[in-house]
Amino acid sequence: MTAFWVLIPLFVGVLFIGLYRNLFVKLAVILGASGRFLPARPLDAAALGQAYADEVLVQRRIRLRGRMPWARHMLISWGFSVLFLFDILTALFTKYLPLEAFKAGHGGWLFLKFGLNLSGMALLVGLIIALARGMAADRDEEKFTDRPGTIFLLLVVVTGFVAQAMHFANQPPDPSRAWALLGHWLGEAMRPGAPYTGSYSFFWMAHALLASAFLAYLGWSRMIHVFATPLGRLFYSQPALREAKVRAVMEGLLKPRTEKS
Amino acid sequence: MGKRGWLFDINKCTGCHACEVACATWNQTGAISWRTIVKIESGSYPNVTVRNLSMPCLHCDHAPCLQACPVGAISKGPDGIVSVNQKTCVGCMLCFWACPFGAPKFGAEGKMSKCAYCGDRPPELPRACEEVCPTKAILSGDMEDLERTAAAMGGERVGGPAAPALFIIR
Repeated sequence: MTAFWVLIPLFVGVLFIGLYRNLFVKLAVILGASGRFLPARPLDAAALGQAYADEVLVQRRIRLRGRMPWARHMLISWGFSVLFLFDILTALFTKYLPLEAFKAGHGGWLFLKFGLNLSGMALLVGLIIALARGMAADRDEEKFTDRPGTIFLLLVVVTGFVAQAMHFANQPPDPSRAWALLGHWLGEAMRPGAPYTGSYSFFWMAHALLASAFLAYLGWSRMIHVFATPLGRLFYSQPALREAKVRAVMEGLLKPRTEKS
Repeated sequence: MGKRGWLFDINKCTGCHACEVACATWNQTGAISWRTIVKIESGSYPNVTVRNLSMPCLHCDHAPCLQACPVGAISKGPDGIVSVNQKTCVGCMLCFWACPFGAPKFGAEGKMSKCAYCGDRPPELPRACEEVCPTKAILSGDMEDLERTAAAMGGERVGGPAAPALFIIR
């Protein structure tokens, strides 16, 4: 358990170092290379909003490639984001702000379990489709495949569901737990083999460590697109800025070196 | 083979877009053009000047796109050609902002693509854009050869921290 509390901050630290090295330093490179050509004008808020809706919320660019790639990516990205949000809410309301409504079996607790399991199921379905498609992908489609990331995230999700199911199976039956969807169904299916003591601890620990390690992995792999792509695409939504930058560079090219300041 | 680059004669370019079409046709890029004609207008009536710049990727010595890519999808070969691995590219578009010349292009699928110096053409042949240019405003080749040609024509290498592999005749 001590090792666990040492490893968690370590993994989060690795994530922040990764974000610094692979994103913030890159943004500094961009400012250094192109910043002086960018005109000081306000960003087009409407275009930014449209780009946010298109690229982040509904991911229209992926939709253009087909329904299946779009459905898969929506399930993974939304599943992951909502799951992450519910994880934070769960930690907040069950550990640090233990309100009555969020005690086991109460309405708030059931809502959290429902959100966690629904988003987890969406993520699981998306990952299974991604893995299956990755195995059958032709050469052109291979460039949209991130197999290591998919397998890593799949391990996080599967260990999470198994740990939760074991935990439920170790408890007396409770019909209200049906709100926990897959966790509840798996728990009921596993009840004949209960109690799971050692294996529950193993799966819970494996899930917690894998989830934390995945956070570290985000900053050092193609998964950094979670942060970098929305940022780059929001900037790209500014055609006037793009055009002004290229024009400023071209006008500079027309001047002999001696004329340049 | 030494490092490769471009020589461009602004005075010869008429902005006919043949280079853009040849590039898109040879490289089968569809609606995207890896080479772009930029028109720069200056002066006021009646003393107006229009000059055209045909811009591909300039395969910079210190390519900012390469430095800005968060996943290491962009690399520079021994021949100086900057290329992108589309399997690694995540389509974040940060390279577009890093490149002062706007060379990285993005199609509907969101992956970066750009001039690869017609990598599938035999090196002894001119590049597709160069081959069709009716005024011979574009010249490709070894940087040392281009430097000699540019010097003879009164041109110079384009400066700047990125050190683009481009000689220009103004």
